Amino acid sequence: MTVKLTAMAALLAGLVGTFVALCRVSPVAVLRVYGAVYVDLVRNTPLTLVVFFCVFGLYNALAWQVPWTDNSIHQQTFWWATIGLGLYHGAFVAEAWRSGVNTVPVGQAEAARALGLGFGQGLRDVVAPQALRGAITPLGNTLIALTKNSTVAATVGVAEAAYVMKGMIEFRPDLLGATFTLMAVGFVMLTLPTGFCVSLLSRRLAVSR
Amino acid sequence: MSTVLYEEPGPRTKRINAFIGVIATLAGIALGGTLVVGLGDHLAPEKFAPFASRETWLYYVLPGLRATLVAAAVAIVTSISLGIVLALGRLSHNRSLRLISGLTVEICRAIPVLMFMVGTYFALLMSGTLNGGLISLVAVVTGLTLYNGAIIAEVFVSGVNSLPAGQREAGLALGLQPLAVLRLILIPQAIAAMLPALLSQVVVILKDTALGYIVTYPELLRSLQNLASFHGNLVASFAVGGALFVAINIALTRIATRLRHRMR
Repeated sequence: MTVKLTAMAALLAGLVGTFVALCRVSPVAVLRVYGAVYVDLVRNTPLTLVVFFCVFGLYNALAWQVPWTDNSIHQQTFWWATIGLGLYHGAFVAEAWRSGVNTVPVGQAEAARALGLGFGQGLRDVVAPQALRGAITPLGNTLIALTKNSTVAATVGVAEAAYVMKGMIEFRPDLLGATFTLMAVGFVMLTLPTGFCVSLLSRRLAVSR
Repeated sequence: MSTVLYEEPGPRTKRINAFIGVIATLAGIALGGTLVVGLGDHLAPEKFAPFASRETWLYYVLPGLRATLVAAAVAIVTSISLGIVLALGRLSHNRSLRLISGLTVEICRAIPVLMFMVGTYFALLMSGTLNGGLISLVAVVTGLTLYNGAIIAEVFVSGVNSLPAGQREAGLALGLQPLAVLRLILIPQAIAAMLPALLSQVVVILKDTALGYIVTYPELLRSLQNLASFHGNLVASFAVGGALFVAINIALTRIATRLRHRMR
């Protein structure tokens, strides 16, 4: 459950974050304002609140349904929690992209313009590929944070690791230490390889300047 | 950074951009409108009426805010202390000390805050050494401290490592003990470099106190939920709570940015 939640939310966060980052560098002023407001607002709100907003606000109060799954409360809550996680981390992905763009020397973008490339072409063919390399480390950190933050979905009753752990402890309190260790080792096994891969990738792709 | 990506727009591009701008504005209004209309009943003025009364603030909002700030303040102090201890360990000459603190940092960083909180909460509950209200506070603070202490240790270490090697060598050449070099020469300079990172970690701590919700710590969100279950205005209450959080955190972020500019 944790893995599924993480994977789906990561996908969503990537999409949202890339879109927001695009907005922030776009030539249209309104989009830039949207991007900045989104990042400022979401980054400063506790994740718990974002997930609450999705589950209680959009699902319970507005009765919006996630269209691609059945109507059971289980499935709907799961997907709304995923959307909450995705929206929250999307803001961090956008920041990661921005720091990646900042590592690209100004001359690159200027050269692209001098060649006559437009905004879309310059961004796609010149800046973004280089920005991705600079953004790998912060993107990886966001992914690791997302893996761990998926536990927050427990607050709305999604049966991921922390929720299961709480249930197990309530059921068999005598095994507290064992339960905690098991779950902790599980997380270490999820996050350490991710961190390892990220540092490997960022070293491999590093641009020597 | 955004201006280097495109030329000064010509008349046609200006029109296109204005067109996209208008569409985006309309889309924004539509989305906001759908939310407000859809949540209309939940955001109606009478749902905010409880926030006009003194009792609401006196018995729900302010105690909740206080609990949040108390947990955050205690956690900030303990995290920084733990961070310093771990950082000293990682910077020490003793190899096993370095190994142990490095391992501690890695493990604490890999495990979610929430699991630390839940684990501590039940461990304390079963040991029965503390009484009710204190358990959840200790659980929240422990969870936050273990995780953020590890992060702050990393911030400290990278701050010290960012200094020119000559500083350390000069200190040693003057005949200072390694610990004295760290205390008198390296740390005062490192603090300047890492203050912004430290402050953004404070924002993280403040936000993460909201996780105390699950171990029944009466922080802002939980006390707002209690309020909401009485008045039936969950969405409105959480909107107020969100606004409070955003206001405090944006203020902190602004301070961090200003500090960063001044340090330069």
